[in-house]
Amino acid sequence: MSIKRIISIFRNDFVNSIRDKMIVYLMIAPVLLALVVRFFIPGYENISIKFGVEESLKPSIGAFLENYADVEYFENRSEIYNRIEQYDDFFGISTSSDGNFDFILQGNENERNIEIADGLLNYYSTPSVVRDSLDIEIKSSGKTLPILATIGFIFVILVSYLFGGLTIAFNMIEEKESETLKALDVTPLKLSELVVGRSILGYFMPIVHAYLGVLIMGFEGINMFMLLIITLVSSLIGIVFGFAIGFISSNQFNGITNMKIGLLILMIPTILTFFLPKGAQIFLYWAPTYWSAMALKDLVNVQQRWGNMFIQISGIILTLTIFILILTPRFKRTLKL
Amino acid sequence: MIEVKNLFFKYNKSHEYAVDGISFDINEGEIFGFLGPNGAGKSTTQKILTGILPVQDGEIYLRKERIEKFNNDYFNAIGVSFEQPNIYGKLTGKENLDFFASMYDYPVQSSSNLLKMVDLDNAANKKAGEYSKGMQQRLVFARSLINRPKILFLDESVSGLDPSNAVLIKEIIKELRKQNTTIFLTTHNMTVADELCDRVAFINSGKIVLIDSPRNLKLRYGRKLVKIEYENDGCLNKEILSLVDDKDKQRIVEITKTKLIETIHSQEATLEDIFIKVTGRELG
Repeated sequence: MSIKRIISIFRNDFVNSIRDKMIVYLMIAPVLLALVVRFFIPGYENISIKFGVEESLKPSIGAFLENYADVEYFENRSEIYNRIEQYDDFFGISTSSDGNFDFILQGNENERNIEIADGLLNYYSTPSVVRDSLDIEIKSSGKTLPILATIGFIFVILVSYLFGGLTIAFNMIEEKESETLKALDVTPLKLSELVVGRSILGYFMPIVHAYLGVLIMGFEGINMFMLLIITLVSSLIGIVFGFAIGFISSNQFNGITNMKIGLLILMIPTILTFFLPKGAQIFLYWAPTYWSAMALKDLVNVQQRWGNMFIQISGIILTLTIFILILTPRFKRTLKL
Repeated sequence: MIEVKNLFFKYNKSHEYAVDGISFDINEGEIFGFLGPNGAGKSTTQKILTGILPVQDGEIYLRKERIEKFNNDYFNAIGVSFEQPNIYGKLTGKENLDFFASMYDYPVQSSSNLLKMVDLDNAANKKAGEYSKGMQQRLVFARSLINRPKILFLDESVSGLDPSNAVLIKEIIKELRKQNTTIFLTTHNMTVADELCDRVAFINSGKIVLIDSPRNLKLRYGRKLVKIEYENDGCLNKEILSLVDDKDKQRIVEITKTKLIETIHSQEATLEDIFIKVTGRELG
């Protein structure tokens, strides 16, 4: 293989891509999606319990809660209501007409957070003699992000893997339409060099997007080396997807249609991982994106282990190998390099 | 330089051979014209010789050695100018040439010199997609020369160009012949073939029906007549006279001595006339 030719293919694809509005959109879309997740989906900050307490209760329950949670103070009950209506889990404490206090919920809070908040209030209600005799230590039982945040993270990262491949697809479609592939056919360029050179962009974009996405979304505690391994393996999904779309699409219009269908097929298993019971997930094993989503899910929830990740990336490689074995003979016939 | 023996090719869904047992050879430094109407098998033959299509049946020899597989040595030695201007529209003319230059294993020509040669130096940094069709065709022609090919395949490279650019490309082709480049010229334009080719092959329905030099073909199939136009008492007169009949020969001498001759044309056949005569089919 000639390194010179591989780099030329990559450079040519890159220059072509940044001069194509649609591909530029594919390049910036994951960044925009990461911003959406950052600003509209609750993240880690939601893991800590947050209370809104009326100013008058500051010396009593307010001071007590400050030991265990984030506490904000408000002038009156209506200010607490306004704050509770925001997207995150937030619990209000206000004085009630009988002199006690009211525990105010919006209704859509995470059950686990409700239990913790309830426990804290019960603890506060315990007579001080009993309370003082107890030695309470708060320990984290492992962070679990709100489901929406986990889905948001996986969606952004997977989209960046797949969009990397789509740049390959649209460069291939353009070559088909302009017949430049024929001109490459009569040069010393080999099929392997074309595939490797073209795949660099399919790796380059996801790596940049994955790290940029994590930074933008603000998720903490993610093992960046694990992210790199998952990205390197998962980018193959995008690359194979890109080559497949490029191979079956005869023009840009056709390519967009195939892209939509392909994205739907690949993204549905990732969503289903959250809703199907574990036993039924065997039906998703065929999809490389399922394995990738599982790896990312454990990663973002800071529960990923090397052994577990090895099984997940093996799943990606195995399912992709089957796809590649099916596609390669037809692909070779088309390119004839 | 190249020898083709009993070459056959059939497309998947077709019952008929697109190339039906053709044989020919091309000498080093020769311009060999491959002429025929659309669908005759010209482009299929060229695609086989350039490795785009596989050799289904038949033999191809390069310098007496049989080509079993088109390898890098072969691709480093050939240049192909396609009929369709297949270029990267978002790259500039220079970027197009530089990209293809990077595909070869040996030293290549400077893209700037090539662009100058085909009169595109002023548009070197303009996106090739914004070129006119003629400019794109010249760019494709320039691209085919980037690796200083020993064998050059030209598919309708002159057809469709405006007269001044057609002259420019024809001059470059003639210059390449002087440099001993072997040229396989596919065209349905008989005038171009007549002007450039040392030998031509007529292909029809996948079969070669005739191979010879344009001069020999014209002599063999042409009529030995001459058409003379002259002025007589203020009127324009025309006579068609035989070059072999004694009486007509004397008449030619008489006219040249006594009349004011305006034009004299020998009446040899054109390549197009010969093609129609041999195949019973017009070039399209």
